[in-house]
Amino acid sequence: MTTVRFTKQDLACFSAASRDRNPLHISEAYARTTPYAEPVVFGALGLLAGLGHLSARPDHRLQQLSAEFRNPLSLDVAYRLDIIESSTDKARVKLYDTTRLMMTATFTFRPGQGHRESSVYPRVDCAAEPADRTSATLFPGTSVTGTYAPQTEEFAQVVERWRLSGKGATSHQIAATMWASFVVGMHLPGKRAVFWRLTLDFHDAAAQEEAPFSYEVAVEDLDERFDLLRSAGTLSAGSLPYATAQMWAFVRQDSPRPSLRRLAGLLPESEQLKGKLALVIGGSRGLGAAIALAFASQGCSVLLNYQHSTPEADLTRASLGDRSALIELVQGDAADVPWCLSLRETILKQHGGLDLLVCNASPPIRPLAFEPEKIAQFQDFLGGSLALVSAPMATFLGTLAGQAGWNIVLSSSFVRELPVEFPHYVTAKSAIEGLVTWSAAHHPKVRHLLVRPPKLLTDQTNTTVGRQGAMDVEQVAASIVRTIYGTGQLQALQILEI
Amino acid sequence: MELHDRLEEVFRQVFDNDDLVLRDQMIAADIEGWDSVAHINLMFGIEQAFGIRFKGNELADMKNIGELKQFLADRTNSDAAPMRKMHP
Repeated sequence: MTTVRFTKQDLACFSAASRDRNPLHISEAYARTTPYAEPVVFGALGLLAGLGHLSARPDHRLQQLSAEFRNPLSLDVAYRLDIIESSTDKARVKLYDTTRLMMTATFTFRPGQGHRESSVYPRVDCAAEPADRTSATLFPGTSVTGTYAPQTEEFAQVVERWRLSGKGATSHQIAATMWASFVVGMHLPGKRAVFWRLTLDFHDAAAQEEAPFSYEVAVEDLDERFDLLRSAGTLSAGSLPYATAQMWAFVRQDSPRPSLRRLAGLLPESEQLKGKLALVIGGSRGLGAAIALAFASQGCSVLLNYQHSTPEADLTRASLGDRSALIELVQGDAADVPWCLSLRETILKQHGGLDLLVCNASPPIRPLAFEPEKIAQFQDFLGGSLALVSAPMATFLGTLAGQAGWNIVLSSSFVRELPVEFPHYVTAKSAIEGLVTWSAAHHPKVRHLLVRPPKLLTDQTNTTVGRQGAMDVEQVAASIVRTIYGTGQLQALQILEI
Repeated sequence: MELHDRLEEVFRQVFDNDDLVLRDQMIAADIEGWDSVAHINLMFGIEQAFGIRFKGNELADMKNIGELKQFLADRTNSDAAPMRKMHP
């Protein structure tokens, strides 16, 4: 079995070689704000890795390649590579994560040796930062032109690392594949791109011309249902076309931010929670941020916990305007018991107690197959999820009991719906529900609220498919506050389905 | 090629399974690999093969393969079949 694995260094090298500096691939901080949570492997790198595993074709020359990047490739995962070479003229490559098809590529060759093309490329000024084009600014005819050449040293490293020599693709053809990545990742659409499909046709006419290349690419169509952009263009050497490309990419939308105005429409501002103190675990963005804003909009003081997302936490607090002093940011790992204990000491010293604990944090939620090869990730997710709820609960339940406070824990409607891609998430949330049920039985002085929201529009679901049917987070936050207001009597456990 | 065969061909390509046989009562859970990404691939594949365009995500509202076939038959004035839920 052939496996292929991509490292952080592979991404850095491909980025430097191709000039594609899209942060989705090379910035951990940026990737964290996307549904992918971590840097995604360049689709074109997956394609070249496939090419590199083909048989040698010294007497053939690549005529066309096409690829479909079905699912995002992650770092440090051993992907299985299936190679089907029915003849020397055609090869098909499929990349799997256990049984999940991640990428397909088809290479068509014709007899004939490739021309000797120099792999020493001249220095060319290319865009250093990707364009940030929304789907609303992309129209048929929107075009980009420029000059392109890969960076020689890193280009050579990519060729060597993936054993691309002698596989029927010339240096310029490899460079053209990198150019397609550059165009999508840096220009059309640029920063918001999720590369989906590529077709490259190679022409002989310019094969003997030297780089640098010139290019012209234009938008052909934008499918507004899915923000799917189709662009077509030509890469030329000298005055002759060297390759023509068709490129499809999804245009990611803005990261959804909780809106105080939307919240006010659901939950008018008041002072009903004045004098109360809430601790929101995982409150920098998404539902946690909306809950923090909802509490503060009712006069509640909020300790907003986050681990990494300082800019988002700052934005959440700032969005409160003249009430922003009600939110205090507390950075730390809520799964870390010593950190929780230290925070409890501070809370008791400074505030005398805690009225509301919101356990909202979760590890990034990515689809995961329930396969033996994935059990380590499955167990890591379970452990991480449980730790982010159990550590704060174990630390603060006693404190909450002193105030007849609320323990509010975020579960999910997925515990009922059981979606096929999320066995780990369903299991984790079910376990968390078990813990809350147990707590309700043994900590009767605390009011327990289990919340099962449906799919929500957050950074984690902000994809073409994910956005569809997703509920605004403000709606859930408002429902939580209304539940608190509506409960006159002490109830051990309530389940809020939204 | 009949509608059923054309549709089966699209499914085989999208789900990367040359042995996939479609039945009218089949729902998403019956087909391995039918996740949200496959769903969108399927949608584009059907659109391309049948020269139609779904409104929004109407494919997700169809109950089963039979209903999808009926939908395609109505849209393309081709052959038809009986019905029932598809996408999770």
